[in-house]
Formats: sequence, C-alpha cells, structure tokens
Amino acid sequence: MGKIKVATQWLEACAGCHMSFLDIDERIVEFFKHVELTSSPLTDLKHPPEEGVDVGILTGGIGNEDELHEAQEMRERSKLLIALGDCAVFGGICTMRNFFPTEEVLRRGYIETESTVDGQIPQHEDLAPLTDKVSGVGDVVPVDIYLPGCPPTADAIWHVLTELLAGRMPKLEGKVLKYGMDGG
Amino acid sequence: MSEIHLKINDREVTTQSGQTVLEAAKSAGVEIPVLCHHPALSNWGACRMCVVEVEGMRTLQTACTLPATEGMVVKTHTEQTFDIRKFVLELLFSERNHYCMYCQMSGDCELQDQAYGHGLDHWTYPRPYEKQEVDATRKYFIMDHNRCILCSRCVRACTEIAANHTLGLRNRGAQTMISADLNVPFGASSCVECGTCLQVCPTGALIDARSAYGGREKDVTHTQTTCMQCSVGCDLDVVTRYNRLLRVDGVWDSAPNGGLLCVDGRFTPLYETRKRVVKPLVRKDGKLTESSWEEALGLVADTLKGSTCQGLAACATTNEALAAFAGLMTQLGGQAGRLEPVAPALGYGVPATVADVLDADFIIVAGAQPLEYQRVVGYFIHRAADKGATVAVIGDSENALNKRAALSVASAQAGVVAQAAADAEKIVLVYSVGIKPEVVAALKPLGDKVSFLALDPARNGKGAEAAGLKPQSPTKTDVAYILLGEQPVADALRVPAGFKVVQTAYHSALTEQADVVLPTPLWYERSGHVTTLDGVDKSLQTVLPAPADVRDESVVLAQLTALLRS
Amino acid sequence: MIRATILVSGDPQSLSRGAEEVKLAIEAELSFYGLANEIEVGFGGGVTRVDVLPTVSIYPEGVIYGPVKPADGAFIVEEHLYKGRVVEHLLLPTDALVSGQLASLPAGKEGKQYAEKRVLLRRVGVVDPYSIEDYVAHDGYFALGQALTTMTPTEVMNVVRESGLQGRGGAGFPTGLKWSFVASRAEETKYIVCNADESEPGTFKDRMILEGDPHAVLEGMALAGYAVGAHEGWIYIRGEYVLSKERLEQAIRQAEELGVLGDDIMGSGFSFHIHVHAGAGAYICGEETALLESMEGKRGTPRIRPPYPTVNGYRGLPTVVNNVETLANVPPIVLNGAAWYRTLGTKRSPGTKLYSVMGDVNITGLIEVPMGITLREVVDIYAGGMKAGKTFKCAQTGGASGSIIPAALLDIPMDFASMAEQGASLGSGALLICGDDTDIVDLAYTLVRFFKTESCGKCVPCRVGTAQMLEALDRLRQGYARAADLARLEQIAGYAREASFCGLGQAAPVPILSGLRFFREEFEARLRA
Repeated sequence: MGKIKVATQWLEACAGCHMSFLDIDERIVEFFKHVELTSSPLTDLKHPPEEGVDVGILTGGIGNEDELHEAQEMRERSKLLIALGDCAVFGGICTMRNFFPTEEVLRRGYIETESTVDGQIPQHEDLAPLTDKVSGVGDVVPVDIYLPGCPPTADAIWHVLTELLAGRMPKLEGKVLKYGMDGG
Repeated sequence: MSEIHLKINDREVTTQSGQTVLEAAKSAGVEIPVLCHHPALSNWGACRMCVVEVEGMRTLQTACTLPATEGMVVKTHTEQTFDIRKFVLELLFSERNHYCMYCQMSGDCELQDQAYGHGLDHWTYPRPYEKQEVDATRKYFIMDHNRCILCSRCVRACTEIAANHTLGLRNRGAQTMISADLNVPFGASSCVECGTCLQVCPTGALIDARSAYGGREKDVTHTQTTCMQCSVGCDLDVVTRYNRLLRVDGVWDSAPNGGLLCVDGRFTPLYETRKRVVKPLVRKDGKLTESSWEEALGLVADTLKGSTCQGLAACATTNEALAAFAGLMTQLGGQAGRLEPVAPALGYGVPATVADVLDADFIIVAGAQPLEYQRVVGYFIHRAADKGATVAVIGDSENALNKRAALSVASAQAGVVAQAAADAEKIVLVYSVGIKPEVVAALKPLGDKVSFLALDPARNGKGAEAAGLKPQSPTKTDVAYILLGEQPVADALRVPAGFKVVQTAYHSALTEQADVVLPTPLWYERSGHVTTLDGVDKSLQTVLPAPADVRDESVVLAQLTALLRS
Repeated sequence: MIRATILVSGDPQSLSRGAEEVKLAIEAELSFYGLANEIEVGFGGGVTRVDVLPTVSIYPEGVIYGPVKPADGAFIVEEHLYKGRVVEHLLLPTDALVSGQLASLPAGKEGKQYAEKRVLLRRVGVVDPYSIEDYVAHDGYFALGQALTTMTPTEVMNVVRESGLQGRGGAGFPTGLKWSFVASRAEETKYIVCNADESEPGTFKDRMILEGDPHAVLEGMALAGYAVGAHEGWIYIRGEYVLSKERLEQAIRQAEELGVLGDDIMGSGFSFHIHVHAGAGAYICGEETALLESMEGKRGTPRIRPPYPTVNGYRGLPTVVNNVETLANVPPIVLNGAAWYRTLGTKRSPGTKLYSVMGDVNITGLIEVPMGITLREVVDIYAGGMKAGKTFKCAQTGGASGSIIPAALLDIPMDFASMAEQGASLGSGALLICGDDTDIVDLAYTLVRFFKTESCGKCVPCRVGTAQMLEALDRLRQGYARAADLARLEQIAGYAREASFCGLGQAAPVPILSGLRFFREEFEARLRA
C-alpha cells in the first residue's frame, strides 16, 4: 500500500494551525512514514494535485474570492476534507469584521488607523475582492471533519490524523475538543 | 418532609418530598446538564437543557422544575434528551456572538462546557445575529449583550437575592434583552453594584473589569476568608493568581449572607487608592522617616515607660490584636477604649440574628443606615419587604430605606410606629448609634415582642466588646497609642497626647500627627478571628503574604509587651 | 312612550361598513317625521355574518334588514316605522343564519343537525348589549337565580360536569373537572378568571359574545364562582377590544345595580364581584399562566407547571381560568340541565362550537354549529361553498393549538377527540379556508412569523427556534435552500415542538410540520436545484 496523500492550505488565518501541527514534534517522523504531503503553504507546491489527494486540510476562514476558490478546489480534489482550527470551523477572529460594512473595514484598516499617513485602500486586479462576510469553510463547501481550537493542540491534531491512519473517523471529545486557546 | 422513592436511570433513588428531579438526581450522583438553573436562585425552566424522559408523561420534562414523586421513573441521558440538548446549544450559539476565541470567559464558561459535553465541534445553524451593545458604564463590571444567553440568572439574582429589582427583561421574542430599570445605562441605574449578577452569569456576558483575562479557573487559587468591611462578617471566596488579588466572590452556603455581598465586600477593597504604610516610620527632625522595627519599637517602649498612656483602637482588626492591645494597656495601667461609638442597650427585647430579618413581618429601622454601612442587612430588609413585611423607618435624617418603607417618621413620632407594630407577630428592630433615647422609650411598650439587631458601626465591634474596649475620646496623656488598622479616620480627629503612636495600614491625617507609625497588614494578608454581628467567631485566612516589613498587630503588641517587661 | 326600538349593528365590521352613518341617517329621519320621542335608536351586536353588515333590527317586530346603507336607513324609517310597511327588498337574506326565524338550511340528514344551532349566539344581534332588561327578558340571570335558590354549589358543579362541557380555549379540558379541583381547595379566597385575551390570528368568536351578549359571560362567571366558592372574578380582556371592554363594564354596573352581581346576590347570601383587566397587546398573555403573571403586574411569561392555576393561580391562590365561550355555555347548561346539553353535539364532545370562518368561501363570519359536524358541511353549507373558480385545498384552524387540515380530512367530525385522532386540532375556533391557489410555504411563513413576533423570549427553543425556522422558510421562499436546509428546518421544527416551554412554542412549528406532512411536494418544489 502506498502512502496516503495529504494536501494542506491556509486561507484567512494566521498560520498558527500549521505551527501547531509542527508541534507534534518528533511524531512527524512517524507521520511521514505513512503520509505524502503533496502540497502545502510551507512547501513549493501550493495547490493540491489535479489527480486529487486522500485528505485535504484547510485552515482559516473564507474572507475573499480567492479563498472561496481555494476551498472549492481543495474540496474537489480531496476524498476527505478537514476544517482545522477555529477560523476554518467557525470563521474565526476575522469574523469580527462581519459586524461592519466592508468599505468601513477597509477604510479603518488602510486610512484611519492612527499609525497611517496618507493611506489608501489598495486596489489591483491581482487582489481578490473581499466577501461580504467572513465564514467558516463548512459554510461554503461540505466538510467531513471539524477540529476547532485556536489553534487545536498538537495532541488534538495528532489524534485526528492517527485515527484516520488507523482507518477510523475520529471522535472529538474531552481534551481534544476545545475552542479558542482553552486546549492550551 | 417525607421520603420519596424513585428510579433514575434504572437506579433506586431515595429523596425528600419537595425535591426536584434535578436535586434527586444530583444526590444520586447523576449530573443533568443545566444552563438557566442555579441552586441559589428560583427555578426557571427556560433553557430546556435539563429535559428528561419520565415514564407515563407525554412530553419531555425539565428536571429543574419537576417535583420528584413516589414511584417516578426517570431517564436523564437518552438519545432524545441528548438531541434536544444539542439542539438548544446550537440555537444559543446561533443567537448571538459566541465566538469563544475572543471571550475572556473561554475555559470557565458553562455554555462552552456544555458544548464540549455535547460534541459540538461545529455550528450548523445560520447565524443571522446583529452586533449588540456593550455597556461599560458601571465601574466594576461590564455587560456584553453579545455573550448573553438570556438565562435570566442575573435578573433573578437581582430580584431574589439582592432584592434590588434593577435588572429585568425588555421586549419579547428574539428582541428580548437584559435591561436595567426602564432601559437606562447600567451606570445610571438603581444598581447598587453588589455583583451578585456577575457571580451567577454562566457566560461572558457579565465581565469583572479587574479579573477579566487575569486567569482561568485552572490557573487561580481560591481562599476562603471573612469580610472585614463591616460588622456583618460575610464569608468571602478570594481569587488570586501570582500573588495578585483578582476577584472576590460570595460563598453560597454560608451564614448569614448566603453568598450575597455588597460593593464594599466585593469590589472597593480591590480598588484601594490610599497610600500604604510599608515600613515602620519614626519622626526625626519633624519628618517621618523609615526605620527598623527594632528602632521604632524601642522608641515606643522607652517612651511608654513611666508615662501616662491612652490606648484607642479602631475596631478594624482581629480579636487577637484587640485582646493583645487591651492587655498591653492594662499592663501599663493606662486607659484603653475604642474610637467608634456603640449602639446603646435597650433594656428590653431579645437579641435577633441577621437572618431573623428575613422572617420578620414588621421591621423597625431606628437611627441606622444599613444600606450605607451594613448593606447586606439593608438588602435583607428589602427581601423581607418583598415577602410582605412592613418596614418602618424612624430617624431625623434622610434614609435610603425610606423608598421601600411603609412608614417613615421622625424620632418624636416613634410612638406611631410602636402602635403600627402592635399587632405584628415577628418584630425586628434594627438600630444603631443614631437611635434617640425618646425612640427607645417610645418602642418600650412592644417589650419582649421585639427582637433587636444592634448594628455596630465598627468592623469588629463585638471583638472589641469581648476585649472590654468601650468608646473613649482622646484625652491629654503623655502617650497615645492608636490601633487604626485599615480604618480611615476623620480629618477632624485631634489627639492631644504629647507622643503619638499610630499602628495603621495607610497614610492619613492621623499619621501626619504621629511620632511613630507602625505598618499593619490588610484583611487578606493576615490570619486570626473576628466576631460577627451574630456573635460568631469567624476566621481570617492569609490570602496573600504581607509586604516584608509589615507585621501583624498582635505580633507587634507581643513584642512591645516583651520589651516593656525587660 | 317608546313604541319601537331600532338596533343598528355596532360591531367593528359594521362600523367600518358605515353603521355610524346609517344610525345618523335613521335619527335624522326620525326627527323629520317627529318620531324621535317614541322610537329609540341604539347600537347592537353584529349578526356575525360579515357580508350582510351593517344590519338594522326593529323591535318588537323582530324584523332585520341588511346590508343597509345610509339612504336605506332613511327609507326604512319612512316605510317601516312611518307607513308601517316592511321593506321587502332590504330584508336580511333568508340564508343569513340569524336566530330562529331565518334559518333556511337543508333539513338534517339522520343523526345530523344542519340548521345552525344557536345556544351561545341566540341573543347576539338580537338584544341590546347595553340593556340588562333585554338580557333578562331573554332568560338572562334565570340560571343564576335558579342555582342560588334551589341548588347547592356541588349540584351546580355536577351539572356542568355531567354536561360534558369542555374548555373552548383550544385544549378541550373538561370544565367540570377543572372546577372540582378548585372547589376541593381549602383556601378561603379563590378566583374566577375569564380569559378574554382573544388574540389568535383570525379568531373573533369571543369578541362577538362580549360585544353582543356581555351579561352571558358575567352570569357564567357568577355561576362558576358559586360552584367553586369564589367571590371575585376577573375578566382579562385583550387590550384592542375597546368596544367589548366598554360593554362589559357597562354590563357589570347594571348587574350590580340590579343586584345580580355584588354583595348578597338576590338575597341569597352569595356575593360575587367582577373586575375587568385590559391586556397590553401581548399574544402570550392569552396563555393562562402568563395571563396571571400579567394580572399580577409582572412580565407576561408562562409559569412553571405544576403547580397549575387551580392550585397556584392569581396571587398564588386557587383559580379557575376559563375561556369566554366556555363560560357563556354555563348559564344554558344550568338552566336546561346536562341531559339537554348532551342532545347537542357528539357523545364525546357535547354542545355547540363557534367558528370564525374566513378565506376563499362565499360567506365569511361567525357561525355556531353543533360539535361533530364535518369541515365539508361547514364549507359547503354554512360558508356557502368555495368562491367561484376555487377548490378546497386545506383549512387552517387558528391559533396556538391550530393545525392544517387537508382535503382528506374534510369528512372527519369536528370535535376535540376526533380531530386529535387525526393529529389535528380544533384550535381556537378560527377556520381559514384556503383555495387551491394558496401557497403552503407562504402560509407557513406567515404563521411562523406571527409566532416569532409574539414569542415571549423565555425559553430557547421558541425564542431562537422561531427565528431559525423563519430564516429557513425565508431561504426556501427566496429559492436559496437546498435539500439539507429543508431537512434542518424539519429537524428544528420537530425539536422546537418537543422542547418548548409552553403551548406557543409547541405550536409555532405546527404550520411547518403539518404543512410538510400533507404538502411536502410544495416545499420540495421550492428547493434550489
């Protein structure tokens, strides 16, 4: 049996979830005995291969059109999709902007902040337009496994991955089901 | 009360009649999830988390409201109850902003705990809510409506425990909001900041301004001690972390206050702004100068030897310190007394306890301002009034209790109150130093029908009484030894003695006159005992260590006694 | 010397259709003919069928005209009262279902009573609601007199119990049983509360009694008080029922003056006082425990039960809470006996029932029919059939306990037990008849919106559940919903029905659940592909 193919991607997030994954420390050696990481934000290949992967992992919420596209792409190319971390599960810290109109958020961020001099709202065809509201991955594509936490602890991530490697759907309870920093 | 037998989850359970299914289950070690229920409050039955299946009943029942009856067969954890509970949680998370990651209660939140317990790893319901206001107009705590689940615990606490009736609900349905008075900012409301609502809030809706983000339950230390702010003597649960005082909570199963505290017990001591005395000070060249304990105590001992001396204590310290103080003064052959006045003896009636106020049907308040100085007693009077007791206030100045009083008369008209109370069954007279002799005389016809509660204006007046200290004014002696502790003093207090020793925690007008100032610990930095209004000796526990050069009064007084003997 | 009385129907429908102008025209014409001193004019109750309003009744002849326009009013004075000729072309249509004289319905087939059976409405539209003399002249206060002089309280209670009368507020609880709970309580003070907070969408049956025959309710309450040992009664009336309140208060004053209410009624030693308490516009206050909270001056939210109001009611004392229609049934039962009452309706649900009929039918308005007639009979006979070009799709029975009744149930007898067997209910007595062009999703949306607005906010399943259901229905109507959304809507509805605190929350999902049960394909047709 060949290695299980895993792809990861981060969307509207802080990269903390990927850091937390790296906190599995030496267990990563064992992990990569069974797993081939086809693409990730930390490696050269950023997009999951067209032929697809076994497990897709998304961290971060959906806050702009690009992220929406990335999420759809990962969904299409993954047999099983994991939403990892509070942003991917619930929308996360970026949902704070959901209470304000997008223009107001941009104006506040790029023009009105106290440290800004002669600010302007960036506009370029390469910049993806913001969605009206930030949402979780599950709000835009079907998700198979949710692992909340900000970030989920390395142990929680390890629990989910090893359960999957053992051919079981992971069940979240006790120490591995925590929101925010409550697991740390 | 009779025994009741019922079956909970196939186990035989015996309980008492009048118990709810929730209580019966708890006594049998079965935890049924709750959110709106709180053991100190009336049952509400609104969150529906505690639904159980009862054989023979068509619908699910709420365990918190359902009386246990003989032969009842209850199932507390079934697929159906689990589904309903998860449904309720999903609804609550969809109603307002319950993102745990930026809430200071994450880790200590009952809503979050229940979500974990029910495997809520994501939300499936749309969340169409809008941003709610945050009301930060109160000094000590904040109301964030975004975190509110409308369980109404705070409303019931305000109504039933504090009897202040500030909090209520306004609007209906999805527009329902917690509201102060007729929807005014909390800071502008009739709130007395007793903080009971804060203590019962299950989520991050009511936020303590000082302890927010200061540490989660697993990080903090709890120490139980006794409140030293007035003579009532409430139990306190003091929460600390890293030698920092975070918060004070009430203790539900304690007498006499049963968890109810006041702003002076819960908040103000944590916001102390007076300048602390942390080292012994000796006046040199007209200026108070830091010195060693040896130097300061040696100077005091030398001065006391062969001098006339008056000792005056503010009754704001432990029984041990007051007894040592009285002992030292006796040994010196000087006078010893207390700074605060005492309420006069009536010559009739039987003593009442603070709890008796709750059961009274007629409460007379004479020459006392409990809502100002012994606030918990004041709230108890409000509670009795809510239950139907008649409150009559006698006095010649404005009294905050007048608002709830059926009768409010000047001292000269005290006879009117005596007449009105004549037919009452349980009369409690709450009085203090302000009671006039003519009032004492006018109420005399009530005789031993009166249970009286004499409110001592000092924090540990009963302790002073036990030490034999009676009120005295400063007299002209060679030395005045003033045991002040944390008590603030009136600027007008003049001590005519030639040499003044002040043992105190804070700089004040009195330390400005002092020749020697000896630092004392604060209420949470010491152990010992105080005697409450009810005459119960309660212990103080050292919550945090005192600064290095601060010594307990009783230790200092013992050292001084030893020096004087040598 | 007054030789004739003219009553112009003065209910809100009549007033909105020009009754005030009709009355003015009649008065002007009477003055013109110099008849003002011998003929009095007043407002009466409506005759319950909307399309013939306003009506003009002339006594002592008992001739009823309708619908009458102002010019017709003047003409009636000239012809009928001045010249003494009945104006044939203005007479109320002979099928207009007015008491006694005009019922011209098909003869009943065996075991069925087709003719509208008037027990509760027999005086409505006939007597002057402002006149206690009129009420007395129509058997009023006879039952009370008979009870106080010849019956013990227990006997009164037993008659009601044996009659099989069931509460008409929607739940159908046996009235005599409820009374016996209160009668058996040892407390000295007990209360009778009349629930007149009729706020169910489309329901106006209680209002017609209160406006047209207010004394019947007072007499029923006094009888209830005598039976259970209560000396004080309260009528909690919907705040918007201004006219009902005015007429009730006038009726109470008159009854006290006449000595049929107040201290020592008719010299019997029994005293009974009645007060009126107006609600302030909250639907939830029609729920009996929320009503009691509201009467006590608190926020109107339902109480924990048990204890029930029969033990812990108004001010914590034993209290009978009965609906207006229930109480109006009591005087005729006491007067005519339980056996007579059981000749009406069905064995399981004796008596008659009021329905406010609305929707796609030819005749809308209030009808009183024996319990147990079928919905088909209501539609075809009493409501004059479906409007031209429409066929029956379903009926919505109103209010907190109402449900959707599809065509398949058209022939089920309408009584509490038979409806319950079909998983449906009579509800508050409103019958919204829907034609085939009615959109079930829109209907459910409208009903759920009502419940969302009126939820008191106390319990989570109702407060948040109604909001979520409405949101999901809205997505469905907008065409955004997928199959998973519909499944979730059904799940929320099921849970909310199971878990809500009171009847309002348990009823809120019913439009969705019964809509899905009978018309699932209509919901599915709205799904996004």
